[in-house]
Amino acid sequence: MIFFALALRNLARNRRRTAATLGVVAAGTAALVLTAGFVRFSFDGLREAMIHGGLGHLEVATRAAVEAHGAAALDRPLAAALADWRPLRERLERLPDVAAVGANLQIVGLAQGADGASASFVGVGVEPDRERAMGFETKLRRGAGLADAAPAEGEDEVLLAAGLAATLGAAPGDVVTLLAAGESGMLNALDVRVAGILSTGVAELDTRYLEVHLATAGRLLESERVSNLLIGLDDTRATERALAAARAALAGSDPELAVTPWTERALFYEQVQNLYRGIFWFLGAIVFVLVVLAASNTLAMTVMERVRELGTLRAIGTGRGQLAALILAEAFWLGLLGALAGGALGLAATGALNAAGLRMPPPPGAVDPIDLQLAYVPEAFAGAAILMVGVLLVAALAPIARAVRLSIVEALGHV
Amino acid sequence: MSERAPRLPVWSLAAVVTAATAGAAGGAGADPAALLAATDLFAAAPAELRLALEVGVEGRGERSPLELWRRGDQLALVRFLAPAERGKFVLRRDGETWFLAPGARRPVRMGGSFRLHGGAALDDLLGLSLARDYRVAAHEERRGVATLDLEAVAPGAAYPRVRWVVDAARRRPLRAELAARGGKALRTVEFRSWLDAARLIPGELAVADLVRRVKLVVRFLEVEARPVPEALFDLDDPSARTALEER
Amino acid sequence: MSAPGVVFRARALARRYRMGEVEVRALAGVDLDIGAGELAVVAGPSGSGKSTLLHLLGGLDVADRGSVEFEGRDLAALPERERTLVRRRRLGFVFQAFHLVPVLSALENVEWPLRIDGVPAAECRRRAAEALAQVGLAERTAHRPDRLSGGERQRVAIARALVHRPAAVLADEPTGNLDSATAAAVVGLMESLRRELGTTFVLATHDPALVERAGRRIRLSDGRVVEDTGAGAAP
Repeated sequence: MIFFALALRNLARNRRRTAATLGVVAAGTAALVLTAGFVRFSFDGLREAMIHGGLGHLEVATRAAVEAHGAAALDRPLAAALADWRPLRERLERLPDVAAVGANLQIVGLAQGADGASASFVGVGVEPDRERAMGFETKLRRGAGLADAAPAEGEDEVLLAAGLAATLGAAPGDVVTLLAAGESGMLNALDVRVAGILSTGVAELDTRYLEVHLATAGRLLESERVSNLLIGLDDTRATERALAAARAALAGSDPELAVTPWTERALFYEQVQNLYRGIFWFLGAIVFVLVVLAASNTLAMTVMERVRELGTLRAIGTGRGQLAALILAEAFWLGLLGALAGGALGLAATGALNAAGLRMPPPPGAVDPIDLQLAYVPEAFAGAAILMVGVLLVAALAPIARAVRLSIVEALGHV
Repeated sequence: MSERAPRLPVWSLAAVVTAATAGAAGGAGADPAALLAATDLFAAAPAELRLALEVGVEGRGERSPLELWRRGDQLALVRFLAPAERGKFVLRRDGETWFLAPGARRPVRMGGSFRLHGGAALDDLLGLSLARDYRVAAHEERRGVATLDLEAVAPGAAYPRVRWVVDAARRRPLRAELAARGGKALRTVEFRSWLDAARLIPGELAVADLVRRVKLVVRFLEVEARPVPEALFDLDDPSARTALEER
Repeated sequence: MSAPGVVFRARALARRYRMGEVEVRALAGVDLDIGAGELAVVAGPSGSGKSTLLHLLGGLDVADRGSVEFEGRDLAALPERERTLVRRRRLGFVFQAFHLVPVLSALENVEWPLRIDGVPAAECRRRAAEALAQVGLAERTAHRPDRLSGGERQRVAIARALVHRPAAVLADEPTGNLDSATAAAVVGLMESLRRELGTTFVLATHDPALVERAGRRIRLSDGRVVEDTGAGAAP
């Protein structure tokens, strides 16, 4: 296309101005690419932290339990718990993509420290060996984790979240007493020795959370049932496939079972996602405006400078649409070349920032600082490039309007 | 997470103790205050007693057998008699309520966090004595049925308002409506039959939680006025309670 | 309708411009017929309305009064799109300052009228090279205008004006920026192309040498025709 060739040559006429415009476009692109990388990094980090912090990829619970308190509840009613769950677990563990399946028994109750201080808690009875197989991480602050084997009667242990431990005045080795209502609604109390202090990674939950062995939870609640089965997958990307497989495997169970993916249980993740998305779009809007302003100024100047030439082209039969196409082609090149440069810049900056080994303050709701490792997001590169070309085409509208409205006679006489 | 009370039994304990503090009726008076005093089960109950009862949800078959020991108005012990619940007690002492279980060496204090639905804490319910804690704000008598509108004397009572419906002639309660300050009824107690009407010992009563929409049926099986040793209520030394289990 | 053989017919053509506060009467009623294959020179001093007349004849501007018919069509009555097509296909323009596109080579400049008309690229190149050969620039096709002399540039402009075989070429002071020898060569070129191709040429100039050589001389003064040596007739 002669328009594209001519447009490219026109851009080369005023190299400094073209370079400045390309710089703006490139900087905008790089900003978008870096932001997308940061957002993806945050999402991925948060996602894996949540999944491996105890959420699991998929959850199997009775439909009744899920409907009682919503998908994300930590206080499923015991009456709707899974009764004969071990064969179920065996079936699920045979499914492809499944790393392990761990049973949880949720507890809500009151914990009392040695000196009588008490606090309400939400707790989970877990199977430590299965959690390990699922890649779950227990962020131990002090002390030791739970033993794999079910504790003998009188030897029950607990991991207290840091805030709860502080409230109870409990340290590893101390005995705290847990009080909870069991299956029939009947109360029970149980002494447990503090094995360690953990952090959930979520500040709010750290004041109320504790973890015990599934056997301990069953002893406290006087129940053989479990609240749910958590399915840990080999790879988060297999979630959809494994979800379908698990649903197919459990179809027609009695009582009816619900399989819920982590996405529906991580309400917090969704909120953070929305927050970051908002930030991303806000930034995108700023970049958009800046680039439109800079580019439309450049394009307006190229039109101003070439009034006589444009008049000549019109005089010898170039149509208005063709003139518009010529200017659009210049805008297109500015957008494309700027986006390419910006992509390269973003790539280089991502590499440099990642190599720098920066540490980020904890993301919203989290406790630990995290190592900054910006993600490479191919879609962001493509999206930013498309966006930039689009932005430049928008920026070309006003200069085009000006160019096509030129009076040929006046343009020819223009000096 | 809401503060969720343990479900049925704690709830029922309130009803049990509210209802179980039954005893002989006092002298009959004509005025509302006298009527209140004459129908106050808590005040009428013997200072020391053992009470056997069953608690269940209305419409469901299973009932939990319980035993209640009382000594004065500050000491009460609920003992769970079902085989699976052996060794568990709820102990009330000096205004505090404790839970004891075989798996826990020390009693667990059930504090304000074990609030019941409807806003009432167990503490408040265990101390519900109408003649002592309420005054008559209004009363009305129609065809032998007296309705006493009571207001709590002390601020911060679990139920600032109580509507106490009694059979004026026979001097026995028919129904109680326990209400919040605004008058919204949170709970009703309905006296269905009497084990010993003369001594204000109920036979069966139904306690409805209007907030949670659950109705408990409390059936009194046996009331025995007898000396109750203080050692039963010892928080640190379980031996007297253990002895009950081994009896 | 114009008589057969008449390419341009102007009747009572008038045009005013507003320049700031002053209204300038550029043309004040011009009647003119220019026949096919004529080489007509529009002469007159600066401001006599020569350029305006050419602009109106070429459909670059629209008259206030009167009419211009080109090949029997009233240019003012055509929509802009149609007028553009007439200029693209049936007319050629040559300007005093050449008005070549500086970033295009000589060949690309000449190709332009064909390119914008959708002629295949290979044919564009062939015809443009032919046109450049006709104006004697076969060797300089790849040069950009800034590497060409004034005479060469004007020859490129003439090639551009002729490449699509227009019915008429309008040239506004085509020798104004050239020395007299080069000017003579350029005019000689146009004259020979006119003979060879039968193209009508209308030249606006105040170059006396050029005026003397013209077969058809139209002299303007204050927007009026004060002399016409052979109205409506081919030389």
